[in-house]
Amino acid sequence: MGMNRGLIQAAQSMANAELRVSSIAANLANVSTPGFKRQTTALQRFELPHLPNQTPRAVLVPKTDVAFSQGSLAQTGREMDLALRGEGFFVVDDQSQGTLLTRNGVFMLREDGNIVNDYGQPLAWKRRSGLLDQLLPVEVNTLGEVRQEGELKGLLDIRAYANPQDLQMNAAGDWIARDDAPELPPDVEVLQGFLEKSNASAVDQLVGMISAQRSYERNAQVIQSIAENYQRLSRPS
Amino acid sequence: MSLAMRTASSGMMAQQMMVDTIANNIANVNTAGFKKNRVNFRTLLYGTIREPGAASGATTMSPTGLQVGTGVEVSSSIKLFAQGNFQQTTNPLDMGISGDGFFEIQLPNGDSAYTRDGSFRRDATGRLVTVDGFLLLPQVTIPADAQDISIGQDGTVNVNINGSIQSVASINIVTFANPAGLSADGANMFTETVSSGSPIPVTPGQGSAGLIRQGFVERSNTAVVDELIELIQAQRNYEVNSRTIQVADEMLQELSNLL
Repeated sequence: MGMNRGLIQAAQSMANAELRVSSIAANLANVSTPGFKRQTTALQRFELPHLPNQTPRAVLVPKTDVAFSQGSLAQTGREMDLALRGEGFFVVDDQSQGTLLTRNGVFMLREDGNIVNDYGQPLAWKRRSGLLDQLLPVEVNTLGEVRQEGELKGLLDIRAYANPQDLQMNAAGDWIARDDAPELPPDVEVLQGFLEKSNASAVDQLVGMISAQRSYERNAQVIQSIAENYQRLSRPS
Repeated sequence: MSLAMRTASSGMMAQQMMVDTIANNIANVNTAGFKKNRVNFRTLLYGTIREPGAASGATTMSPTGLQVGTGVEVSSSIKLFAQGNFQQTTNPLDMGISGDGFFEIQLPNGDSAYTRDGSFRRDATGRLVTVDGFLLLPQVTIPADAQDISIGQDGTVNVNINGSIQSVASINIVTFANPAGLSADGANMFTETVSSGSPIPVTPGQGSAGLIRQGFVERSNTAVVDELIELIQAQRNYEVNSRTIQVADEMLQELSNLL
């Protein structure tokens, strides 16, 4: 029984290390994706229900979280590159998924006067006075007000949420907020001609990957020595 | 483990695309009117193993989530239409556009293409053509006996014929709602796509349209130093992704030792 539990725990630890490596692999693959937020993995402890005369037991369950820390800002000089500094998200509308939140600020001005991202999803506005004129330069100030030749065209919709756990990532790495998620007044600056870089740093991620690899190896050794002990036990003495 | 490997290979492929793009930008550092490319990356498919807040019973919900990404994709490649520097030439038919806009060119099959490369020449009948011999649209014909060709900033072409200055044509340019959506077809030319919108003919200097600068060509907007820095970054990012594959491989080896 004792050795059995050790085996199960070691195998569980190997599975957790594998999950960590997969998560880090995704962070490393996205070190140059604008607005990318790195994922962290952790183990959460859960007490199992027990009777008063029993020893309490707990299980460790792996979980993933998103680190919403600011990525560094890189100047690109392109008119429709926008970056956010502070807490908040751009809002884009998707026909099937509804309202999506993103920090990826690569946009373009479409012929119909809408600002869209590279999936063609239009950027949402808090208020606007008509479509943009495709022939005129677009100016976006730090408040998110969009002007053309000094004339105010509208205010970009930028949202911030009180609890990051209310945000759920969709398949394309954008976020969807729960319907009743409490919002905060966004404390954010919009920077035109900048892009926010990924907040995953190659060095940190490599260190994490090596540590996960070592944990995997240690637990593989544990399994091996338990297996050897079983062999010794079953050998006739 | 194969998930980590595939994720890393998507990262390597994306960085490879970045290196290819940078190589093309650097190769065109001396191409008149060249506009550099940029690839944009996007996160690829997050698989949700367990949703945070999902119901785990009638009155309980799972307090933690478990989502794993599967890598990165190249979502788009766009032309950066930043102005290139002007280089003075001695050819009076060289034109640069200072600001937005393109020259419209007629291809041999009758279709239109658009270019920022304003190195024009006269053909046998005096019409303005590109170095490849394609006609500038709307057509401009310089009379055979014309001297001292002067092209105004608004595109008006004046020539001196037997001592009298005459206006023989005016050069129009076109702009696009989304120039980044143009399709680059080689030989410095672009063609319109659904994403670029239709060409809008404008007089140079009208609205945001650029002005014509006679006797100049626009140089490539590639800055070699910037490209080199990006090249080094792409190479390092490629390396860390290949390191992921190596680690995943070592872990698999460890696993097979157990069997």
